[in-house]
Amino acid sequence: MSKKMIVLKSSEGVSFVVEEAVARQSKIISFLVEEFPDRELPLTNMTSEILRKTIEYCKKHVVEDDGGGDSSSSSSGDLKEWDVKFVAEIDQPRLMDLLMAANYLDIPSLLDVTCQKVADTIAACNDEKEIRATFNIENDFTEEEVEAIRMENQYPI
Amino acid sequence: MVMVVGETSMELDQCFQMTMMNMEGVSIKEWKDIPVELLMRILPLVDDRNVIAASGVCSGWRDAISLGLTRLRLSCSDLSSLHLSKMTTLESLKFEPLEAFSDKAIAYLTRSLCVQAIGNNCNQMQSLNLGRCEKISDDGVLSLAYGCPDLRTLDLCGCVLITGLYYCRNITDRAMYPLAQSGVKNKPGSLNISQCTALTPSAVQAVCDTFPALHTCSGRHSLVMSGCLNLTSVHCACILQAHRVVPLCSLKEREWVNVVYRSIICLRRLDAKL
Repeated sequence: MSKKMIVLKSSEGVSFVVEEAVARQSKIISFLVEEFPDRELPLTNMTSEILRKTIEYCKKHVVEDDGGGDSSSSSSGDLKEWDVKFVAEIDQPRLMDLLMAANYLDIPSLLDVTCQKVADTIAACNDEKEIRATFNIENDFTEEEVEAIRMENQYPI
Repeated sequence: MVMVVGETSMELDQCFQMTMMNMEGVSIKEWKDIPVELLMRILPLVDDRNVIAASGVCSGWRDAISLGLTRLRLSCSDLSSLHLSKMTTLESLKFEPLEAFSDKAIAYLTRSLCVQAIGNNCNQMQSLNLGRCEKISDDGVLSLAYGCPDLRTLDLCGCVLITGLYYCRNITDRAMYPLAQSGVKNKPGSLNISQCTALTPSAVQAVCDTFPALHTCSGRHSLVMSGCLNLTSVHCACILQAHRVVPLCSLKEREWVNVVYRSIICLRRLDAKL
C-alpha cells in the first residue's frame, strides 16, 4: 500500500517530502491538505532547521501512535522519555523557534512539551534578573517605571 | 509536484497569508516578544513565585501578564514585587492559608490598603478569598465593593475585623456561608450587612445561628441589616431561648461545640436545598 506524501517547503525553499499521517499531526496542515489536496505547502516562515526538527518530532509520534497494541503503556512511557530528550537537546534560541512553530502549525503535543521546557527553565531561575539572563531579555523598564513600581508596593505600616 | 499558478494556488496563498496573520508567524525571534497566549500557557506550569518574577522581567512580559492573567493563587511569602494594580483582568485571587506566609507577607496582606489597591484597579475580579486575613477591615471590603463590581464570591472567613459590608449588593450568599463556617475560634461580635440586598434570609440565618453574639433583637442590634427588606425573618438565638439569654462570655467550650453542631446541621439542610 503506497502512502500519500505531502511536500512541505521551508523559508529557504527546501522541500521536505513527508507521509500525510506525519504532516497531519499539525492541525493547520491537516486542514490545508483537505482544502488543497496535492499541493506543495509553502511554510514561508519556518527555516529548514526548525521544519526538520518539527518533522522529526511528528514522525516519532505518528510511529508511536500507530504502534499501539499490548505494549502501549511501555511505548507511551518511552515516548515521554523521548520527548524529554528531544527538548533537552534544544538550545534557548531554537526553543523559541520550535515553540512558535508548534503554535503556528498547531501541533498540541509539541506545544505542550515546548511550553513545559520553557516553564522548567523559568522555574529554575531565582528571580527576574536570572530570567532575563537566561532568555536574553533586556530590562526595558525606565527609571520612572521602576520608581513607580517601588512606590506602588510601599504600604504604610 | 508542481505549483500551479492559477486560482487554486492563489487561494492557497491567501489562506496561508491569513493563517500567518492570525498566528503572528514565526518571525518572532526574541523571548521578550512572546505572544500573550503562549506566555499564558506557560505560566500555569510554574508556581506563583515564578509568575511574579516573570512579571518583572520586561515591560512586554509584564503587560502580557497584566492583560492575560485571570487567576492567581498566592502562597508565596514575598508579595512586595507583585503589581496587582496592573492586573486589570484578574477574576480570581486566592490567598493560601495564613500558615504559608512569612511575617513580612502577612504585613502586606493584612493591611487593608493592600485590598484597596486591588479594589481600585481589578474591576473584573469575581472571586476573592481572604480567609483568615485577620487584619483586613471594613475599608478594604468597602473598596472591594466599589472597585470590583463583578465580585460574586468573597470569602471573609476569619476576618474578624470586618464589621460592615455596606452596599455590597453583589455579595451573595456564597460569601456568607464561609463566614458561618469559620468556626469557634473567631467570633464576630457584630456584623453590618446593611444594603447587602443580594443576601437571602437562609444564608444570614446560618451566620446568625453560628455566632450567638450576633443579635437582631431590639436594643441589641449587633447584626445590622438596615435596607435588607427580605431579611426580616432572620432572628437571633434569643427568640429560640427567650427565657435563657446567655451572655457570650459565659459560654463554655462544650456549649460552643453544641452551637456549631446545630449550625452545621442547619447549613447541611440549606446546602441540600441549594
